[in-house]
Amino acid sequence: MEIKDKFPLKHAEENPSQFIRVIEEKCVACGNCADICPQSVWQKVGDIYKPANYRDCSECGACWDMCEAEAIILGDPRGGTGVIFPDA
Amino acid sequence: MDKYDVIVVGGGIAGSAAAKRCAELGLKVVQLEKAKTPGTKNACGSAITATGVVYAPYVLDGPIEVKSPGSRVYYIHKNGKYCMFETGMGGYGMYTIHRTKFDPWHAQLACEAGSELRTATTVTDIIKDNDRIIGVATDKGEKILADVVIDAGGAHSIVARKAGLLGRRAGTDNVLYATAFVELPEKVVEERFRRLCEWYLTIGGSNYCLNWIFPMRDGVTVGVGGGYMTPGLNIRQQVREFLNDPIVKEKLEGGKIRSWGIRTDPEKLIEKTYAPGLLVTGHAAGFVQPFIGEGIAFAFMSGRYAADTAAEAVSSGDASEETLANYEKRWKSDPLFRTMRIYGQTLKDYLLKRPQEEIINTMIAASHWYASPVPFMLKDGVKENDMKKLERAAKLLIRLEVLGLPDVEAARTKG
Repeated sequence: MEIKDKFPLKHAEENPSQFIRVIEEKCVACGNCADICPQSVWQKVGDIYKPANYRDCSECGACWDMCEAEAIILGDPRGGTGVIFPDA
Repeated sequence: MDKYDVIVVGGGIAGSAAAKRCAELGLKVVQLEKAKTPGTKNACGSAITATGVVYAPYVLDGPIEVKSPGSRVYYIHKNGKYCMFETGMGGYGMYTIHRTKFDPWHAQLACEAGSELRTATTVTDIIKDNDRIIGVATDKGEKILADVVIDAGGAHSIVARKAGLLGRRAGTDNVLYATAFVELPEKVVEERFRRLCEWYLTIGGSNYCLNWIFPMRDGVTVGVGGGYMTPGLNIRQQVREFLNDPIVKEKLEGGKIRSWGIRTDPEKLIEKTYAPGLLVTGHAAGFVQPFIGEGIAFAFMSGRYAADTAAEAVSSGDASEETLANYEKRWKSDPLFRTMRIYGQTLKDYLLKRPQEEIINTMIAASHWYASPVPFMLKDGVKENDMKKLERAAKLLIRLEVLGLPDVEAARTKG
């Protein structure tokens, strides 16, 4: 099984609302979030990083831990949506 | 607005242990889980250790996959050499589980005791009255009130974060890991693993990577403990390397990877595990030791202690900080918890500072501890509630690990 820029995770059928956001004025574009993210969620957009691919998110929270600028608002998808690990 | 004695946030191990105990103590309790089915948002080892069974003997009635009598440990040296030893526990050391089976069973026990379970319910905020936490808000727009909120919301729980008790954990305080379930026929698993849980370690010179393969009945759980969360950690690369290892390829030959999970394992306990109206348990509080693969046992422990403390607060009508401080007194004085903490921390401190050559020798020597009196001292110390016996056992354990033993015949090396 090929793992390229993300793991082939399973997600619930319903789309989650956007549950991860960047506080744009706080972001210093260090890139720690993109670096640690297993799912390539974070992408450089202009001068800052944004969670462009939040639908691929594994909800691990590693980005929030690594952001020293505290520029990430980390929430949870609506109940019953988001990533699932059906064989855990 | 709904009003309960206790709200338990989270449907994992700590959450259901707390909800079950609260209900057994006669409290009106509701348990909230964000997934549709408990266990489906967990990425776990996945096994309950003997330590876990000490805290929650009722798990032996639950859906256990394989009762594992010991471990097979590979130490992978950077020059490609392997050291491997097998250890027996003189009993069962690990009970592997599917969290997607175990967690629903566990939550059901809580319900049978009288707890109310609400799944597909995400907590979005805490509700405060001045300094006191008096409830939670959910994604359905509900406001639920309680005398005590027990936070079992996981490594990034919104509850502990909003309460100001949980901040970022990175560097050597946190591990990012991935797990996969690989489907294999039961007979093949039995032949290849002989019910032993396998650990693959690459440690030394400030590097840390702990990978594992645990036998289930319908396959195996593969884990890659990618390492401490520092810039440069690439979990995808760690996983690729592990799956391409020749020994691992043989073990997984013919298997089908069904799904992946990714989570973090914080090694750091938060400074304060309680606040007015709030108790923090499990991963949220940092009751985890990824270095020795322990998390579930202390989830059982902390969930139960939180419930006991909540019951005191509810019956006295006082969920102030003073009353809830008893929670911290309970877990801080727990002899088994203290022992495992000493063991895990010392092992970590030692291994992170030593070069790989020295560690390979210690790993070989450490296999002997299972044949030493230490496990029996631990068992007796717990049974007799004898802190002195447990501290002696911990010190002996540390000596065995750190100093090593002269006899290294137990190891087989593969060049």
